[in-house]
Amino acid sequence: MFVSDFRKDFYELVQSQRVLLFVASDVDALCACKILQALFQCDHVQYTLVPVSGWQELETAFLEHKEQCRYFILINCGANVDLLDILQPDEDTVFFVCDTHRPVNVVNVYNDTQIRLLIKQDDDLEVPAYDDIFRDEEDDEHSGNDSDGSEPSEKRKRLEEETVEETMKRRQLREWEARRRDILFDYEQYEYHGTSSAMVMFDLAWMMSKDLNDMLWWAIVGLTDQWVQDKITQMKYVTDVGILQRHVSRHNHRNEDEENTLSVDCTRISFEYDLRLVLYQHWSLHDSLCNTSYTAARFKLWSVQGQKRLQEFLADMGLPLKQVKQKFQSMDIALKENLQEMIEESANKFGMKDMRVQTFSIHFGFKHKFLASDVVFATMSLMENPEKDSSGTDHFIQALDSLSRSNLDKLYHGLELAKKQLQATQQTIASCLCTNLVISQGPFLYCSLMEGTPDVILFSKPASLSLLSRNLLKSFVCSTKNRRCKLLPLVMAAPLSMEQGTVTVVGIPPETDSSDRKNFFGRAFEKAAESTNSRTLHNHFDLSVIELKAEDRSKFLDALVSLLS
Amino acid sequence: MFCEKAMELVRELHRAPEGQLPAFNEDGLRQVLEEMKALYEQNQSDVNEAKSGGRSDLIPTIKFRHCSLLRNRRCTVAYLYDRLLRIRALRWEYGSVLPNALRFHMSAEEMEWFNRYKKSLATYMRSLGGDEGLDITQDMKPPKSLYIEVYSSMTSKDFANDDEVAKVKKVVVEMANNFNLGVDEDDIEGLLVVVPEEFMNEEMLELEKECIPDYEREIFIIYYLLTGHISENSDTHLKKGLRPSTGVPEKGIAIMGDDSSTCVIVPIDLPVGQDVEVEDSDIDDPDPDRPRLHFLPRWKCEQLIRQGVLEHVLS
Repeated sequence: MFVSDFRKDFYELVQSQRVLLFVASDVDALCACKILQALFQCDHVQYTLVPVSGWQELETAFLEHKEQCRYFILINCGANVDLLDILQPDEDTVFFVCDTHRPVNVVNVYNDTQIRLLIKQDDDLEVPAYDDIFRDEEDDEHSGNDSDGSEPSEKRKRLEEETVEETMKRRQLREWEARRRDILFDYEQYEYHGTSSAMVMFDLAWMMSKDLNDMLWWAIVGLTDQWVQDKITQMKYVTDVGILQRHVSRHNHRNEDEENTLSVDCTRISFEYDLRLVLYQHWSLHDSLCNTSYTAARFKLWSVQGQKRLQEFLADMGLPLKQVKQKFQSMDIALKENLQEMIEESANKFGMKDMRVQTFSIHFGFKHKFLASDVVFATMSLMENPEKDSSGTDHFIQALDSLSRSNLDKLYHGLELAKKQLQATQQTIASCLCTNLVISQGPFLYCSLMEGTPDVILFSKPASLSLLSRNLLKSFVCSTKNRRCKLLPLVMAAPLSMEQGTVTVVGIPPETDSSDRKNFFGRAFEKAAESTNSRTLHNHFDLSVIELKAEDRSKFLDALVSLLS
Repeated sequence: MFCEKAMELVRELHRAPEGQLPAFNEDGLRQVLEEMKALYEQNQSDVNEAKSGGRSDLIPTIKFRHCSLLRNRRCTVAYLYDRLLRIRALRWEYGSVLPNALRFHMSAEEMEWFNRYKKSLATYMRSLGGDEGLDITQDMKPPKSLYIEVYSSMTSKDFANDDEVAKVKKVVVEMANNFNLGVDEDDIEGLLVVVPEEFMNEEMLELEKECIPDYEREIFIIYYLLTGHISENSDTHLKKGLRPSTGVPEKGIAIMGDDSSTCVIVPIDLPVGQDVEVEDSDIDDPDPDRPRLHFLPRWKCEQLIRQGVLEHVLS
């Protein structure tokens, strides 16, 4: 059921208990978790934090801990499947689910006791009505043998009447069931995402008047993560930015007043209409232009022509190459002054209309200024870092720590990792396009990374692979002349584990301007796996990412082709 | 000049920084005492002479020597007293066992004084905090926060997932329920305190003698653990079974308790070699790379942090 009053029905219930937090492995979940942790530490609520990256880990951890706690909070996991079925909890266990995955499973919506959804009900959910899906168990069949001693003819007549009634009932039942199947199919066909969990948690904090600038920053990072990973539509992003902007001005209005400004060391968040070049303030402008998927795709930087166009672009703005290749912070101040407007103008000439985007930035101290997207990329790279850390600390915990202001060294480390990740992404895309690895299978495009590809280990985790695939699709759409291919979705496979011979397969919806970001690959993968008995593992919370045995790849793909055409 | 040596002693101690104990200056002290003796003898003879011979011009000298004597005494007493204060501070800093280097710096009398101080402090500490005493030399600064964040690397069932410990818990539950104390494994978990390795046999037996077999609400159960059941490499450092004395049951005693006020000696018969059934779920051990983060009250975690089961997060 949906929780209407977050404070009374959620926070005050868990305040006196020991709770268990299950947090999924994405940046939005991390931010929501940080906000909730801050609230819990303020109120001395005992909690245990368990990072989970898939359903198996969730189940294992649940089994371990189910005797200790009664209240479980799931962040960014668990809304889109039947939780009670998978976890088999005891009668008095209560789950609070704050998840962006949609559609919310109908069992979770209509369960009144054990599952409480921390989701706003107007979040464009379109849940089907109760009566359409559930039916109270009536005795549908009359027992046709009431009395023994009645006459046979009467009995026969009664039997006939009863048979007629029964047939009517059965027919109604069948119709109802057919309608139910249709409704459920329509409801569960497409996967998409709702409001960021970090924003939901910030809302809760605001309702309790315990919100801080730090929590606001985490909410901003959570929202920006959704935008970076193309999980929400542009409209929704702009709306949510508007909501956050009000909070920003409420917390940070002292900066505008000349006399009462805060000291330089205090955190300041400000709204920016800034360039969408990734990490450009922590890198050189040239590198940033080459590694932002938006510009790389539009300029077609994998070809020689593209490189020339980039040079033209820079020349058009009057930026000398030497300056542009230097670290941004060391660039000539005269050039940096009107940089944003200059770039926007020139970009317009080259066909890139959305060079600037609404976002936020945070300042503290003289040196430290970060845009929200910088932090998103840094945290994502920290979390999906394939190297085993020397000190053995978990990557999840590292990424969680990097979001605090006191752990700036981790954030900078994350920025370096993010740079490597982005460079690897662009190189892989360039090689895929140049060697024509993206082939059309009919209803979709297919691309598979080979074992020996450099940096392929960076793409074994789902978020990195999804990012690579989306950027690949964007670049492909810009590179191909085939009209039909521009509207096709993409299925991407990358090797996951050599010993087990598995690959990760990711499905990306087609790239259109006004895309509603709804992904049908979740169900499609399930059905294809069933029909071919391929050995798949639907472990990730995003149903459109699966693991597959390499040998079953071809038959899986064939099934998918036939399913989707 | 007189009193130079005494001043040397005082200066030497003054030079040593706070908390350090320089070596006991036997020589210096002896010289001062000799000087005092010489002065005293001279004074004695002069006094006799002044009295008998009526030589009142010796009186200033006598007075002068007297003042020197007083000064010497003051300096030596100051020296000895300051050393005692430093030795007392050592107890609070180093604990009952001083490092050898420091022991060599103390004289025999100072050593004795130190031992008596230790005993006095121990008696006082035992008289606090109920039956088991309170170690006030630990945690001398107030904590910054009531609740702290900790990492646990061992996860399931509240930090005790050793098979042996699970078995032990089972047996304890049985025992306790035999006395109608109505506990179950969850209560035991919270109460289980691991026996530190240095726990000597004699101290164990002493504790037993002190305990009152009183059955109150909280349980303080002692039993020795079977040698066979507890492996040496157990993470929980449970020591092998110790030699039992008369009156003490042959088999397992483990120490458990928290803020309890009673202790019970329960003779149990842990069957050797027979496997106590442990209700182990069929979960595999959690990935050791995935530590769990907890936010718990400080008092619950302190003991476990000291044992290394939990790790305090300093953020």
